[in-house]
Amino acid sequence: MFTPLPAKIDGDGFTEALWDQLVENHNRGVMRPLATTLLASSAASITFSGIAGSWLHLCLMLTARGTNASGFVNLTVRFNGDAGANYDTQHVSAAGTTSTAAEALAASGFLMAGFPAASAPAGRFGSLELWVPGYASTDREKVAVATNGRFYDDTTTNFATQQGGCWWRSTAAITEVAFSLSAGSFAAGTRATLYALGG
Amino acid sequence: MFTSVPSKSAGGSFTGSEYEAYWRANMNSGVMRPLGGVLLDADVATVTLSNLSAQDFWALLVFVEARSNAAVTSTNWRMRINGDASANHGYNRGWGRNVTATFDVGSTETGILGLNIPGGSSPAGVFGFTVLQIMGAQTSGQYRVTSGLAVSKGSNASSGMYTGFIGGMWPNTTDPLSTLTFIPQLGSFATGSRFMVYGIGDIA
Repeated sequence: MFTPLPAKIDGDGFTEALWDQLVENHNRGVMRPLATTLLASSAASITFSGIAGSWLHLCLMLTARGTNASGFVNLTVRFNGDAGANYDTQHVSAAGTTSTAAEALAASGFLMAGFPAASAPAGRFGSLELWVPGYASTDREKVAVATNGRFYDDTTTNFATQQGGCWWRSTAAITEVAFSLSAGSFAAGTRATLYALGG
Repeated sequence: MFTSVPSKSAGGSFTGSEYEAYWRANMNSGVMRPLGGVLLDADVATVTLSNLSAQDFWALLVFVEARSNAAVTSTNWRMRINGDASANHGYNRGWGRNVTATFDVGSTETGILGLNIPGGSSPAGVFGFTVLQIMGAQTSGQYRVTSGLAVSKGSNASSGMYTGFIGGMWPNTTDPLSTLTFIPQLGSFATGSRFMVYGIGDIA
């Protein structure tokens, strides 16, 4: 929990209690990174495991590219290693000047579309921002919202952005978040960071 | 405001003014940190988070996890800035529901309209979620402007789920944002609903 720090003047003591308050604010109060993976070589998946329940919300940032011999690949997010038919997803997307929507019920993961793969121009990575509120709660099913940008070629009708809402039909505390692709592996240079927000 | 922390050598002093500049000011208003919040332990008609302007952040991040106790599958909610109940808020929303993308707008609203939240007839343990930013929360000469993402579910059946984005504004350029009030369209916010506001610091 965050507690605002008190005022001090020259000559005041620096107490153990003040240090403990600083520790709590730094470790569990402010928004802070918990873990980062930067791939030096391709990998089939990226997993953050052993997530403690010490915070209120999670945020994940991902820049990713696939190795599959295609223009793009799709991303799957799973919680706690659950690959069962327990995820509902609703999308709303815009590609070029066209908006669309789609749902996927009882899927095996939270799906987000359109990350550049081996046939996309070099140096092109897709982005994802993912929010997971109340991840450690056990009184509610878990939700997440994500948004991404996808530019896997230079055709403007393929310039797209997508928002996804995910429902994981579980009240379990989330202790693991894993990313994988619909085909192939994540390419070197793919980076994922897990942040925590305190209460 | 955040001020970069200088390096120190062994034996260097740590003064009260350095504590003020580099720890207290940075920690209290420089980094991103929680300003206030509530987890409801009983149904409540409205939720107000106050004392926000006194904490001096340029931008705010708001988390809403909510459901209503009204006997419906879904209902709307509003976020009112500084208690202004006049028709001064505007919004624009886009959302997907099954295969349909829908957009709507309002310019004379008593609060910024959010996306649906589950009602009392939705599955147990289901709370809608919205995360939104408020830019220029204390900046004179600028409207208070918001943007956010949301997801909600009224049932487990097809077309029961919503996800969308929300833009909103409050056309006041003088009054620092001091309170946020959350109001369900039907019923009260149900037990377990949670509202949190974080401040996002700026450079000194």
